[in-house]
Amino acid sequence: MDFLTELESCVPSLRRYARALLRDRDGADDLVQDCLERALSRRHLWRGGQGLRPWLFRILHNIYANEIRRRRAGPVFQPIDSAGDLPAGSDSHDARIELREMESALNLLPEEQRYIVLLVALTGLSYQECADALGVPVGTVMSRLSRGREHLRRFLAGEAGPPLRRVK
Amino acid sequence: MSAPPEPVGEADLHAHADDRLPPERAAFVAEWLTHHPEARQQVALWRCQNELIRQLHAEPPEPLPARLRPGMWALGRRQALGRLAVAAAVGLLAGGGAGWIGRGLVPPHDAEPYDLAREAARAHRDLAETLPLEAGPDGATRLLAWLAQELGHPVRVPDLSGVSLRLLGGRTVMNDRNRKAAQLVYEDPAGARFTLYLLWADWSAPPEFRFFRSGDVNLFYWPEDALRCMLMGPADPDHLLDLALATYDEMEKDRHTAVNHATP
Repeated sequence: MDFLTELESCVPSLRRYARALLRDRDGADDLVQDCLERALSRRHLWRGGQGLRPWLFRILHNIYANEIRRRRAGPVFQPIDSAGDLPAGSDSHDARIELREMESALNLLPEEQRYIVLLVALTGLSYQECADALGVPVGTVMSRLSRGREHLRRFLAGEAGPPLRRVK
Repeated sequence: MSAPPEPVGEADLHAHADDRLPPERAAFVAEWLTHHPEARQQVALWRCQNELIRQLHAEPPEPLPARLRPGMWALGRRQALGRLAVAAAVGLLAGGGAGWIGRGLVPPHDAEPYDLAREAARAHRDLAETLPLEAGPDGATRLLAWLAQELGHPVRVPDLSGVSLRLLGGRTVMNDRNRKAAQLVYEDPAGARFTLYLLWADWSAPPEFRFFRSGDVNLFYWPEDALRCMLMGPADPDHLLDLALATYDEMEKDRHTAVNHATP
């Protein structure tokens, strides 16, 4: 597979992750496009072999962390009633409520835990690849994943009022 | 003799919930979980979290926009379309089957090309009963003027003599949504009819090529900004692709004169 084809094969998962991160479709596509352009311009830095996906996620992540999040210094408020945005197919009332609660719970997670939880659920990257993408040791990935999941569990169980924090 | 398996730790449980364990280890952990209900519940909960997150961020499959297709950036537009078309044709050949088949890089819920292809194929079949307006000597120019008058905007008739298709004539066709399309009729040296169906829509569609089949007629669909183009005839996909690319090139030439891109 040539570089461009391989690059393109990673786009759907990059896009899914970017949308989950940004909760804004157009913004997510902009982010993915930036990431692809950067990957192309730094193609010489990529050593080939496996690892294109974590490399791309790392680029995407750096753009997100350094540029987008900084730009969004102010709080971004989630609409109170975002049920209309929930994916179709979740037609049962309970299922929709469950999804909405998960959405809120994710928004309450500390950012670094949210990254991991989303990467693991949405991208199929291995733990080591997640670690590469985020530039942290794999042990850190595991501990953040563990804490992130425990937080989600508690938010969803309605235990321990989550620390009120701004959605970044 | 192999070493006894490592005891199951929390990392194993996460990896099991995430389907990240190698099969042998996964089997071992699964077996271990049958004796550890609490851990089993924990794993089930994590799986459920993953599932909810996936549902929350599930995307209906949709074609990637051109700006997210780096393979396209490096290619000229024509090459990009050619590449798409080949992918579409390969998809068809692999799929086989009879009747209406739409194959492309986009899923079937995207109905516009599908509906248009049906219209175009119907218009193609109707040709057997309707004689198109004769082109005759110098007819292309007259046909052009007539179509322009009928449609209310200029149309260019691509010259396909380069691929041995002779222009027979053309007509306008009213589609289901009360829009007039132009249907140009060509004939190959063996007397087989090919039609080019052109419809002007209100919006620009991203470049893509899609392949359809109806009976013994194959059809290629592609958009050119607001213009929707469909070429069909009794040719195998490879040959039809050549014809479609030739048509595309001819229309691309006309792009410089902008006549095919006037909006109604």
